[in-house]
This record gives sequence, structure tokens and C-alpha cells, in this order.
Amino acid sequence: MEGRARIFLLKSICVLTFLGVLSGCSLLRVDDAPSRVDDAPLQVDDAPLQVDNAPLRVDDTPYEDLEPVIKPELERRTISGVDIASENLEVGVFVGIMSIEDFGNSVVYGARLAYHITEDFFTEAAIGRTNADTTSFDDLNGGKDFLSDSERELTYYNISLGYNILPGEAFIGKGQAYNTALYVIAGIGNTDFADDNHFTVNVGAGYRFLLNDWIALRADFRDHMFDSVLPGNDNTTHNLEATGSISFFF
Amino acid sequence: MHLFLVTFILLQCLAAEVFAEEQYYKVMKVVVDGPYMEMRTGPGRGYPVFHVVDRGKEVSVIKRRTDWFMVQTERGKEGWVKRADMELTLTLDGEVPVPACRSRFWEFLASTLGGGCDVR
Repeated sequence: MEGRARIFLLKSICVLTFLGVLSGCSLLRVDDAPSRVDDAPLQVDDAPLQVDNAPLRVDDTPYEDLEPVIKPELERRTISGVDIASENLEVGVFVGIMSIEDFGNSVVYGARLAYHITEDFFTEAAIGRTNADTTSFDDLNGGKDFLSDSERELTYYNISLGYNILPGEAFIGKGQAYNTALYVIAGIGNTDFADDNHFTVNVGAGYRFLLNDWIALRADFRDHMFDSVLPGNDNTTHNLEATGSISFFF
Repeated sequence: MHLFLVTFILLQCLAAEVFAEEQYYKVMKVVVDGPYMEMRTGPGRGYPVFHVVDRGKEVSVIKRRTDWFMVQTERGKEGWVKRADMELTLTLDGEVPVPACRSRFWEFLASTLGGGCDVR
């Protein structure tokens, strides 16, 4: 008997709880606002939800005119305008060897200005100058110069777009790591050679080795291609160039 | 062709000037507001993460290269933080310190083609 009574009791509790939940927990709501219940107990019983809907608004003052409950004591600080420098420009000088097709190898030197658009892409303007060596024609011709000295001067300038294809680190010794990047680069420009201007396409690759965060050593390999009639036949010449440079970010 | 080159170089310099005017962060110190902030050895995703700054810690922003910011922790560690992580920081005023443009690419377009980008 005792067991049955207990089960009955538990069942009834369950049913009551369920009904309580179904009816929106009206009993609990009354518990939530006990002071209201004390003030107007009958009203609570009749319309318990209404009590909850408007618990505190007694007057009809619009919300905008009400005093805030918490007044934050905020004072906007004026930040002293120390701007953060951006270092997207890279300027550098280079020296190397350029092999002008049919004119031998000679020392080339010049300057570059790069602008880093994103971490991957950069644009670069470069100017370089070299003096062409003697061509085989000169040697065969018994010392008579094929080109005058001023004509032997080769000057090129170009703009290129580079892509940092392999950014990473190089390790020297156990405790030193340097940032590096292998990049591919291609561009267009002009080559002034033998008193003639040639539209030039350049393609190449390079390696940037950063000594710290703003000084870089670079090795560059480039093929400058332009159409030329020198020294006799009209063809596309490939003028290979290998340079080393030091550049600075600012 | 000379003129072309000179124009190009001038344009590049101008672009940099525009960035100087518009795109700098106007704050030097920020507080990490994300769960953590990764510091890399270089300004690029190819460089390894070597340090992590906890939420709530203060870092100084030293300089910027493309979308990467060089920051220094309170203990003096220096590393590069990507823009997305910088957007999860707060200034000392509790504001979000982000530049006007959505990405570096748009910044570049806005500076070269003119106009601003208030798309954020």
C-alpha cells in the first residue's frame, strides 16, 4: 500500500508540474513578482501575464525623456596622432653582368623602385645601363668598330609585376633565421641601344634575403628580349642579366 | 618612354602619399580582443608563427607593410600580425582600429584610381 501511495503521489506531482508548464508557469510568475502579488493579489490571479508585461512603468513618460539607470562616466580620450609608418616602397641599387646577344658580357648597374601592393604582388620600375662589348663582327673586321662608343651604350628601363612565390626563412647557423622570398617577375620597357629604341619584354626570377625588417639583399636573373637587326639579321635577341642588389624598405 | 617611366615613378610616390594621408592607423597601442593574436617572423603567410599574444594584452603597433602590422609586446617581442587579427583588437578607447578599405587591394585601387573606400 505504501508503495502505491508513493507512486500515486509522484504521478500527481508530475501531472501538476506538466500542467504548470503548459499554463505558462503562472504559478512561478506569481512567485517572481511577490510584491505585486501582495499589492493586488486578485489582479494577479485574473491576469498574471499583464502584470509581467508592464512591471515598472507607472507613468506615461516616453522612454527618451527618462533618466538612464546607469550613467557611464565616459570621457573620450584624444589619441595623440602618432601615425604608423607604412613601409611599402623598396628602393635599391644593383650591379651585375649583362650578356647582350652578339656583344659579349659587360658590367651592368642601375636602380630599382618597387612598390609592394600586397604580401604577394609588387610592382617595380628599374633603370639599368651597360656598355656593349665588341661583337664578332668587330673582331673579324680587323679592328674596325662596328658601333661607336656612344652607340655601344645600352640603357634600359622597364616596369614589371612581381609575385612572391616562395616566402620563407633561411637559416644561418643555429640561432639565426632570416626572412627570404623567391619571386617571379615580368614586365615591359624600352631598351635604348645602338641609337635605336627597342620595345623590350623582360621575364625573370629573383631571391630576396632580408637582413632585418627593412634592409634586403637581392639576387636577380632577368631575360630582356627585344627585336634587333644587329649585327646583321633581324631576330629576337635574348639578353641575359644577373645582378645583385641591396635595397631598403621605407 | 622616359616620360612614361617618370610618370610611373611619380604615381608610385603619389600612391604612397595618399596612403600616408588616409590609411594609417591613428593609434599606437591596441588591446588584443580576439582569443589570441599570432605574431609571425615576417609580413606574409609564409613566415612562421613564433609567438602568441593573449587576449587582453596590450601591444604597440610600430609599422605597416601591405596588410601586415609590426607590433611589439609589453615584453619587447616584435613580430608581424595580419590585418584580420588587427581587426580583432581594440584601441585603448575600446574602438575597433580598422582602416577604411576592406582590403589592401581595394586600398591600392582607391589610391591609384582616385576616390576613397568607405565600404567597411
